[in-house]
Amino acid sequence: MYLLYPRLPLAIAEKIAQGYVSQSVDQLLNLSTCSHISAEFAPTGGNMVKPNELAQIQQQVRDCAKLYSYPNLVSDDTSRQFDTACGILLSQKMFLHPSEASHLEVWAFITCVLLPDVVRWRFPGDSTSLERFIGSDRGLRRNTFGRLWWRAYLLSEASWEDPYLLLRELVEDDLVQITERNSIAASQPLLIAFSTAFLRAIRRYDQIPRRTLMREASKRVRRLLSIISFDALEPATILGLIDDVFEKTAKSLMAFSN
Amino acid sequence: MAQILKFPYLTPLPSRVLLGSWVVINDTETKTLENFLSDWDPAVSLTAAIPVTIDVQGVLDDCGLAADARMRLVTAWKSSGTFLRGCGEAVDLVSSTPYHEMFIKVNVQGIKLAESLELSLQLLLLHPGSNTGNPFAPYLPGSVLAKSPPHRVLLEGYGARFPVEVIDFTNTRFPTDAGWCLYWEPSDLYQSVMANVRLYINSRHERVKRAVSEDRPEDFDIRDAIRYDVARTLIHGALAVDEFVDHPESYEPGTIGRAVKNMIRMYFQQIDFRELRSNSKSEDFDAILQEKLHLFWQEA
Repeated sequence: MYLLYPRLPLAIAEKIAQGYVSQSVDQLLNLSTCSHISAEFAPTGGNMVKPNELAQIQQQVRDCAKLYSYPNLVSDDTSRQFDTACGILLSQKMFLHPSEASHLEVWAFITCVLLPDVVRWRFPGDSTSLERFIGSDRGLRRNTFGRLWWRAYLLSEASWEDPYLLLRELVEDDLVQITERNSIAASQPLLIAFSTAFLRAIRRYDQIPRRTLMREASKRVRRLLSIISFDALEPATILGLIDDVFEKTAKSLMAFSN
Repeated sequence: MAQILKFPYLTPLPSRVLLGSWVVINDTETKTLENFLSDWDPAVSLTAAIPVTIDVQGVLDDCGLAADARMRLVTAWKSSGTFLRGCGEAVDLVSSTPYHEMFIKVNVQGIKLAESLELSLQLLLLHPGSNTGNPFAPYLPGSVLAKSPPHRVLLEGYGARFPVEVIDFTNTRFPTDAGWCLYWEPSDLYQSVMANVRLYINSRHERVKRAVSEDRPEDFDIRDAIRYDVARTLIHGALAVDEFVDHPESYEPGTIGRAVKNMIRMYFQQIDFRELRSNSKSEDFDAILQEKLHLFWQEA
């Protein structure tokens, strides 16, 4: 059973967010609600989420945030831990499917109406970037909650003992680089293989900066994508090919640095 | 992403893989899969199939592969709205059956789709088999030997319409009494039109709202003015982006870049995009665009 969420028109979300970017967490907590007069549901694709279900998600996300210092100032370390926990929570409790999640208006409702206080808490400072309330690319880029849901969805592997192992092991910079590259992230089997191979390579070649290894290997995989259809291969074959890419990338980086 | 025009290894003659047309299969019937699914619902899975005849021995010969090479015929799908892609049915081919004739299926969960679905059939190398000594033979598992042209299906009628929403401008950053406003982000033309472009109509502006929602002949001038404004905004916005001007072909169907490129090509067939950018800075350009759009020439 999947749920449909209210969609807040982006022009309205933007106006709301402009008024929220500098407010305090407490002020936004008081302004948060579970409905908006301009928000509408899609006609098909699941059951409309009920107000009490929205209130439940709101509470669960806040409870999760409290484990990481909400409403007090969040540190870089705890914010990363919150992202992982919240991504898993959203993917398990929202009963959202990718078709519905691909609408930025769904995420605009969550950030601007349901949980603006958590957005402001997660991205503190004199003001929070408007992008954290709106975002782009299905919510995957910059939207505070959209990016967490998509990461958890794309990187989970149901057959593993811990389906969210990759989400826990990758650091923020890895996640941004991996999930924002559509050619790799569009295919779950390829993304899982790429992330697994990366984590294996980074253990073997810990003298190479993570970012460099990831970036250079990504370039190689994207080149291969124009001649190889990874999606049609068995997971073990994909992993073998990607392991090989990381091995060659690492060796070439090491040779270059020597 | 740049598209490869020629594979760096031997590929089969087009006549080795013969394709029919895609059909959509539901409980009661099989019918041609059109480019538009009006009754699409994300809660429902879509099953499609395509007839294919393949000359396996011919493919092996053309590609310089040994008789024990293994190949796979597979259906593939991708969706512009969710950016997800995947594969459907796969059939492994061996040279002991030199000719194959089959219907190959793809089943896609509706929940993984939005905006549009693109289907294709791919012939891949699974294993190169014994070494034939041909240095140009493909050898990597997954190498694409042949690929059908993509069959693109618009979902929910998306694409046939421009994304339009009627809202009260009082609650937005737009001027309260404006009639319409185009909401988009010109700096990222790889974004999807349906997800990232909105023509907002002010619900408080009765004449403009009526013009776009009721299609009355007497309101054609308002619709024309909106059409001109949208075209002008998109063209000027895209031409300001260096990447768009230098590589207008690099945008996939469904993206803002592709939509604006197609629109420009409709009005300016031959002109180079760099030259067009330069022309667009002239005082006459907007008047030229008026002419190209045949603005206000239709009688009420």
